[in-house]
Amino acid sequence: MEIEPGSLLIVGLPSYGTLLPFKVVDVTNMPYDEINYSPLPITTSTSLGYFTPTVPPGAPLAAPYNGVLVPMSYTSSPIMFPLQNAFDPSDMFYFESPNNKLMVVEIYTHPKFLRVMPEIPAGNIVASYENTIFNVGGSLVVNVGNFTGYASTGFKRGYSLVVQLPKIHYGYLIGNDTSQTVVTSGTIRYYDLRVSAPSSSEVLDAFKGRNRNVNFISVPMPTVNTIVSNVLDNYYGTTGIPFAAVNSSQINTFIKALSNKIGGVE
Amino acid sequence: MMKGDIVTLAGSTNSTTGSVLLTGQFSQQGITTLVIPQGMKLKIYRFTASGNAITSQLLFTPNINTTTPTWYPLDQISMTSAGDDIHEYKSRPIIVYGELGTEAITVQYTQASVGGTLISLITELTDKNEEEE
Repeated sequence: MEIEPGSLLIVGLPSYGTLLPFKVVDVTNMPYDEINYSPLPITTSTSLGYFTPTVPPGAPLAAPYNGVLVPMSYTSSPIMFPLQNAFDPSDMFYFESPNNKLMVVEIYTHPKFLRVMPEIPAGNIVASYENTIFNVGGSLVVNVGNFTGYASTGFKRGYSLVVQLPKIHYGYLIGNDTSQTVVTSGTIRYYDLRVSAPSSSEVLDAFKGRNRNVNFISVPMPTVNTIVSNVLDNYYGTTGIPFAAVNSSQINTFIKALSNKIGGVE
Repeated sequence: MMKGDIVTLAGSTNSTTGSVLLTGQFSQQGITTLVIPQGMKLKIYRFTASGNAITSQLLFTPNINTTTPTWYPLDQISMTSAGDDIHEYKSRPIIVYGELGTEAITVQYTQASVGGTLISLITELTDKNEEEE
């Protein structure tokens, strides 16, 4: 992925049924930064869940070593990425200001077969099928209709992409559904963006396919959440343009609210 | 579709018969059976033995969860004297699919003298639907 100054970033919020378009004014860490994060922040106290109906006999309830996942296990509580001297040293991606800051965060895991599930905010599990059909809640083991087994929905292998909104702690579940005890590591690529409200014509052009310099990123967030709602209200003055009505009127209403908060491009 | 990491799994024999304890660069500890997760496939590019005379079989089971899994041979190395034997699948790798998540491979061996042979596999665990080149 490449995000360039002058491009549009359209953030999808499926649980809200809305889109948040932003104009990328600057990528402050251009071209972008890569951090080799090794091992992944799984400590010996990180509690483990299992991709099996019950905990396998003899299997540990917490990671046995830093960065190590035993066979068929996942971090049952969301992990964050600590970094000394960050705004919040327990979560390197957390920020509160400036208001016009956004981050796009890509995480590549090693080995690539590791499963990754972002939780936005931390604890808001994604594992569900079409959200309303079933939601596995705190357990990844499901028994629905003809399907019995562990839920792989919500988990991708080897890669995660999120737009980091301000004032929200994101969490990550990391899983290993192989028979190997693996030492984990990752590569983080992030874009530290400064954004503004785009013009309505830019947004319409993006949806009409006339503007190719657009990145659409849907935020994997299955349910409306109070923390997220507060951030959208406080930082952007709106929850976005409804999916059902991407038209000039809705876009103008959104842009007016957004530009009042973070400034705009007219 | 996800490309996988090429991983060499290797282990030395330490008996006259048994299963090889395989260790790779991501391994915190060795394994004697490698289970292919549901939705993935294991590609085996090379099966090698080096050292003392040995008969070694690369085996597959569709269900590792039974009390006594049934193992089917995929390939065999027979070395009647000390040396090297490299089985390299250049045109197409051996592929084992993880349809149910119960499929697994193992490497078993028998030899007259105790130990002294290194067995290795060059493998790649990828998305099951990744297209072959």
